[in-house]
Amino acid sequence: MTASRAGRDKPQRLSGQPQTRWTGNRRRRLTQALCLLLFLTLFFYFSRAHRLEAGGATAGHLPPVDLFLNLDPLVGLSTALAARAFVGPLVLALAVLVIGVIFPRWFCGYVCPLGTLIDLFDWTLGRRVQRFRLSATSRWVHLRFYFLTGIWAAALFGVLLSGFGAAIPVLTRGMQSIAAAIQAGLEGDWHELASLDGGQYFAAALLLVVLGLGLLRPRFWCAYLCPSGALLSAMGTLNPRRRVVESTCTRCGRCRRVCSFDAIAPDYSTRLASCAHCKRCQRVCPQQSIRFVGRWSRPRPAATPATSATAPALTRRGFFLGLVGAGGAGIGAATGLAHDRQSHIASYPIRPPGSVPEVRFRRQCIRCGQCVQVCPANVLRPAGFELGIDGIWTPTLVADAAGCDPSCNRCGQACPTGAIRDLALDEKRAARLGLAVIDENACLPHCGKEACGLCFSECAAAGYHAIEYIRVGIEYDAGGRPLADSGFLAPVVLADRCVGCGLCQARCHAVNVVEKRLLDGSAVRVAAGLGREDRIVSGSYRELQNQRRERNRPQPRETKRDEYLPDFLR
Amino acid sequence: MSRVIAFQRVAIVLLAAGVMSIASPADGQARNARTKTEVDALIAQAGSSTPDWWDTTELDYPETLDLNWPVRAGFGPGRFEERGGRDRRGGRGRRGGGGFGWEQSPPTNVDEYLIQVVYPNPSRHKAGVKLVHHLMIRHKDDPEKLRRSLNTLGEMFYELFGEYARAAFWWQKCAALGGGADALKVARCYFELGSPATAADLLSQAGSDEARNTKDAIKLWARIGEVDKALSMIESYGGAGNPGTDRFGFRGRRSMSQSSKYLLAAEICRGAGRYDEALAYYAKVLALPNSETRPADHHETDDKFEAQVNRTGTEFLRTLDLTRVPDGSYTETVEAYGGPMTVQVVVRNRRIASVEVTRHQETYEYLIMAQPTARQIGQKQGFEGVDVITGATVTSDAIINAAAAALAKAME
Repeated sequence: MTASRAGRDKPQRLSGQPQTRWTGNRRRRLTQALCLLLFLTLFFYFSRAHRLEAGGATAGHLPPVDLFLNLDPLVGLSTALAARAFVGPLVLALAVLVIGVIFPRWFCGYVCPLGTLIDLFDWTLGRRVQRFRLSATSRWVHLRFYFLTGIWAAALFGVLLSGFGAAIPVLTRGMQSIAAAIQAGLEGDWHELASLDGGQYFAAALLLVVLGLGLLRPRFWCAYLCPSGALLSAMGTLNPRRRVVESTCTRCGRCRRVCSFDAIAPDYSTRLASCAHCKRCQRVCPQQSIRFVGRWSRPRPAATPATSATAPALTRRGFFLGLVGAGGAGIGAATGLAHDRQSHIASYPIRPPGSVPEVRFRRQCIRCGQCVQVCPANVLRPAGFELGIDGIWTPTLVADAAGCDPSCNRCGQACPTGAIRDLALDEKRAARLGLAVIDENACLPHCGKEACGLCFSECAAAGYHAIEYIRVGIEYDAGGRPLADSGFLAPVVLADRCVGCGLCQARCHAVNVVEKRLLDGSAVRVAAGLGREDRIVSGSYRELQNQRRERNRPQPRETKRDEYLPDFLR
Repeated sequence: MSRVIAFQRVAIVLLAAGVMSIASPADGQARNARTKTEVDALIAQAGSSTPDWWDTTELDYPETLDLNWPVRAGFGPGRFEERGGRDRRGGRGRRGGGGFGWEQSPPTNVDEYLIQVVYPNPSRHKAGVKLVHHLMIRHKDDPEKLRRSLNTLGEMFYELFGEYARAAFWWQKCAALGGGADALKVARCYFELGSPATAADLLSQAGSDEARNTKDAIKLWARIGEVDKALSMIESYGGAGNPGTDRFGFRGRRSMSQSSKYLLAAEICRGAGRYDEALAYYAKVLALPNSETRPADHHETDDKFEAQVNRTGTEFLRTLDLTRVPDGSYTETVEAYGGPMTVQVVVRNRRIASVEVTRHQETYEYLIMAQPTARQIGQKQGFEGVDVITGATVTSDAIINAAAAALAKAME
C-alpha cells in the first residue's frame, strides 16, 4: 500500500476513514474563500460593465483595488530594489514577511487568490484528470529559489522581472486579458476580440498554464515555481513552531500525497522551507503521528530525524551552485533587456497621465494590468511585443476608441508601485501625455472636402480649449482682398494648451472613420516624445505647466499702452 | 459603437449668450422715439469710453505681420491654392510668433490674418480689435489707411461684439475724414440705438445698391416698421445691377426663387409679430410644386422643410405669452441645419435670463453667426425684432423655434 511506483501514483481511498469534505481545516478554507471573493469584487467591480459613464468618473477615491498586489511581498521588495526608491507597498511587504515568520506561508495558504484559484482548479478539474500526474518530484523543490534569485539579480541591475513571475501580477494580468476579451465580446461584437494583441494572449496563456500545471500535481505552481512563495518560505524557516513526525508513523504516504506544498520529504521529514502549517497532513494521518510543536519542546522519539535540511536528490553544494547559476542567468537577462530597452525607448509609447520618466517607469511598473482594468474609457492597453520583451504588458494609451477623461484619475490610484503617480484631478489635467498632431492631408476641412468641427467641440467640451480654428481656402475679390466667408474653418492645435488626452482622436475616429467611412484613420493623432510630454518623479505638474507658459508667453509689445481715444481724433 | 455614443458630450456652451449683458443705454425716454441728436449724443458718450477689457487685453499678434498693411494680399482674385500660394502639402514653415501652433507659413497680411485667425475664434476678438486700433495709431498720418482702420474698427464692433454705439462711433470718425461706411449697417446702428426714423432716412438716402437691394436691407426696413414696404421690395427683388453683398463680402445671388421670397416674407412677418401672415406665407411655400423648392446646390436646404419647421415654431409664437411662464429652465429640441439642436431657456423673475444652445450638430461657423439671435432674445425679452442672420437662417430660425416652443410649452 505504501509502495509507490515510479511515475503514476494512483490515489487510494482511505478505507475505514470518514471521507472529509474539505481536506484542510475549515477556518483556512473559509479565509481563502473570503479573500478570493474580496479579490474578485475589487477586480470586477471596476470592470467594463460597471464603468461609470462620462462625467461620473469623479466618484471619489477608488477603493484599494491594488490591495492584493500590495500584499505580495515580492512586488514591493523587488520594485524598491529595481527602482532604487521607496515605493508604497514596501512597508506592507515587510509586514507580510514579518508575519510570515510567525505564520509560515500564511499568505500562500490563507490569502493568496491565485493559490485559492489553483485549489479550486485542482478540486474541480485536476482531480479528475490523472494522465499527467507526476509523482512527488523532490528534485524540483528548489526551483523556485533559483527563480527568486534570478529576479533579485535582475532587480539589482535595474530590470524588473518579478512582474513576469510574482503571483498576484500573473493573476491580475491574466484575468484582465481574459476578462477584457469576454467583456469586449459581450458588450460589443465578437469581432472586437481581434483587438487583443499578442501580449494579451501571452498574459492569458500564462495564467492558464499556471492553473494547468495543477494537472501535473496539485498546487504545482505554489510548491515549485512561485517566487513570491519562495520569499515567504525563506521567512518560514525562522518559525518557532514546526511539524514533527512521531514514532507512530507507519509511512503510509497519505500525508505526502495531500501536502499542497510538497513539504514532506520522501523520508517523511519536514522541509521547513516549504511547510505552510496548513495541517492537511495532520487531518489525514491515520496514526495521528503528526504534531506541530515548538522548536524547543521535546517530542517522543521520532522514527526519523526531525528535520531534513536536504532533499535526497540534491546536495547542499548542488543547491548553492544552482543559486549562483540562477543569479548569473538573472544578470544576463537584465543586461540583455536593458539593451532591448534602449532601442525601444525611442518608439515613445504614450503612457498614462502621471507616469514617471520612461526608464524608471520600466523599472517600477510591475505589469499587473490594474490600471488597464480600472480605466473607465478603456483607453489604456497593455503593450504587446512592439515595445520589446522589456516593455511587454506595460500600459500604453491608445486613443482610437476613447480619450483620457479629464474628470478621471483612476490609473494613478490603482497603480500599486507608483509607476503612475497618484495625482489630484487638477494636477492630472496639467500633465501632458503627448501632443495632438493634425494630419493636414487627411483632415476634411484642411483638404477642402467638407466642414467638420468634431475635434474642436470635443476639446472645448473637455475644458482644454486647445484647438482653435483657422480659415483655409480663402478666396479673393477683384481687388485682391480676402473674402470673409469663403473657404472652410479648419482646426489647429495650440501646442501650449494641448495635454494629449486623445479625445479629439477618438471623436474623429468614431465619426469619420467608423461611422462615415470618410477616412482610414483619425486625422488628428496624439504623439508622444521629447518636448511633448511631462514626466516628473515628484513635484507639481501645474507648476510645470505655469512655468512653461510663462516661458512661451510672447513679450508684451507696447512699452506704452495705446489710449483708446487718441488725441488726433478728439 | 455603444461606448462612443455613451460618451457624447451634452453641454456645449458657446459664447455664454445669456451672460452677454451689454449695458443698454439709459432709458430716459421711450426707446424707439429718440431723435438723431439724442442718438448721436449717445454714440459720442458710449463710443468714447474705454471698454472695460481694454487694459487687460494684450496686444498680441504674430511677429511676421506686415504692419504697413498693404491692401493686396499679393495674389489677386481666385482660389489661393491655384495661384501656387501657401502650399499645404509640403514645405511647411515653422510657426512664427506666439502661440498659434499652426504649421503653415506664418501670416503676413493683416486682412488675411483677421479673416483667417481672428474672426473665427471668439477668444481672439479683443486682441484683434487692439491690433486694428494699433494700426490706426500707427498710420495716423496716412489718410487712406487711417480711414481703413476706422472703418474696420466699426465693422469689428458691429459684427463681432454687436456693440452698435461703438461701431457707429468709429464709423462717424471715418465719415468725418471722408471715408465711407456701410450705409446699411450705420442705419441699423441708429435703429438699435432707438431712432428708427433716422434709420429710415439713412436707408432712403443710401446711394449704393448694397443698401438698397439686399436681404439685409429688406429686413431692416421691416424691423424699422415698414413691413409693407419690405414686402414689396421682396416682390421686386433682383432687378438689374450688381447682386451686391450681404455681409463682409459674401456674394449674394442675383435673384431669389419664389419659395425663397415667400420664406423671407414669412420671416419678416414673424419678426414683426404678424404671425397669421407668416403662417400664410409658409402655407404658400408648402403649396408650391416640388420643382420650385428643390435646393439649387448643396449649400441650400429644402425650402419646404424650412417652411414646415418654421410653421410649427410660429404656431408656438402665436400662443406665447411671456408673463405666464413661471421661473425655471426649459429645453426643447428642434431640427436645425446639420441635425437636431437643443436650446435651453432660463427664466428668472419672469424675465428671460438666458438662451443657450446646449446641443447641436451645426457647423461651428454657422453657429457663431447665429449667436446674435440667441443673444437678442434675451436682450429684447421676446421674439419681435430678433435678428435672423442672413447666411445662417436655418440655424437662427432653429434657435427661435426651439426657444418659442420651450417657453410656450411651459406656460401656465
